[in-house]
Amino acid sequence: MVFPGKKVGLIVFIVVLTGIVLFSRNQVFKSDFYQKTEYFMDTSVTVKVKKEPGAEEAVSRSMEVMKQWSLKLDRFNSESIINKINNSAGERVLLTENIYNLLKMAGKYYNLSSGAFDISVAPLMDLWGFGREEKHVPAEQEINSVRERVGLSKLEFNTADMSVILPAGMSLDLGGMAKGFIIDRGMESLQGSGINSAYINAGGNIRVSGKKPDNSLWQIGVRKPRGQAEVYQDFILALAGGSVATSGDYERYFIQDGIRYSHLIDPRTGYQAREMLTVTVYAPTAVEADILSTSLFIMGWQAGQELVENLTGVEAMMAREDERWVSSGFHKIAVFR
Amino acid sequence: MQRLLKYLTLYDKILIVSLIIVNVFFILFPLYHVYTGNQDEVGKGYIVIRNNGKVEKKIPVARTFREDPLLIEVEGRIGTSIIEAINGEVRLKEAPPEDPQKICEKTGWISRPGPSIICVPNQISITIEAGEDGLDGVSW
Repeated sequence: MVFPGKKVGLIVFIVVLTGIVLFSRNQVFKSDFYQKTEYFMDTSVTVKVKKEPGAEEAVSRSMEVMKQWSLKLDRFNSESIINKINNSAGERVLLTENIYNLLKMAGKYYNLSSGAFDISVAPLMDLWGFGREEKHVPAEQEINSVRERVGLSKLEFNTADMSVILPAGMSLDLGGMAKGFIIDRGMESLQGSGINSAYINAGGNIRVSGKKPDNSLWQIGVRKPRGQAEVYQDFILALAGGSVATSGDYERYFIQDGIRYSHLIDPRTGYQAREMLTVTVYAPTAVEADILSTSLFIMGWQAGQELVENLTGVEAMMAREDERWVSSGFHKIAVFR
Repeated sequence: MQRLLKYLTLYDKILIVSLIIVNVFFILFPLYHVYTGNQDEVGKGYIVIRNNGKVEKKIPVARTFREDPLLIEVEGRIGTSIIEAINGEVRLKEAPPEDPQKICEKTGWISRPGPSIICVPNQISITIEAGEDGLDGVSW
């Protein structure tokens, strides 16, 4: 025991150094977020919020709210209200206020998009196999016959008792708006829990609320429609609120005889909308972004652009084979690198 | 100093050297990620799967933004591990039945450079290499 003091000193020094290093490592790796991912609506749903007391419970509640809504709006769920409307076609169905308003909203965008956005497209989706059956190209005759059972203008609304009558043979599919509507309910739940900085992503439909915990803007990329699913390097959205949705022919499709058939069917013709590859929409709420991305894709290059420029608070980016168009107000929220 | 060195046993020296190596690693590792995280390489991150220390698969994070999860099977030392990647995140979904504790299944999802999933019995590791962390999300 020649230098016991020095040895103890050295050990203390190493222990303190290790402590400092581990502490600083935790500081560097410390995440500002609490996040959770679950699977429903046939996709993954991620909720990311500022890490603070109560964040975990708030995210769980929000997930639960979204799951409940996804069951209510799924036409293949025998307990859902949409299933009930479809199975009661020809009869009056009484609705709750929020479901009635949701169908009213679908009606509004049906008119605004000149019939391109139509939740009564279900029989056509089924015919093409985008429901539960096998995907295939139907005969022209079949398409023409099914088209007679499509058209939301035939849905009868009765505001007095908040009921609807769907004509016999018709059915509804909320695929073009449900995800957005459900994200909005999830965000509402988070805000009700006092969460001010939040992000919800359900299958590529994104809504953010407030800035990020470090006070910077949320950076949202957009997937390129072809190739290895890369992100547009020169088009990044920087958001402190609002929602982004993208519709592309690469999402759900099948290829027959070398031709791509996507799930984006024009309800007015019964065939795929083919003018565009992808459409990204920014709107204040997720349901608007969801509806409009589908609408613009189906409306096409010219009509789509005119609609966007006539709507306030809505911006869009559209891409077809050889060119890209960005609406006039997008420069305020998008970073063009 | 000479007399101090003489006083330390071999194990003391091994301990000191290992602690220094660990410290240097933890100082440099975060700095490396702070540095690479600022690069303008949006959407270019990779999920790296190592089998017995060797890189077996390198998948662009951008490819995981899709409707259905990307499932990758890796044949390890004791059986097949199933790895699941979606929406910029990756996890070890199923460890082989031969793995008694399946600790790596319990690690859960990782979505950024830094943490890793390590399956000791099957000698498989999963990490995310920097690039993608400039973005908070991708719309598709």
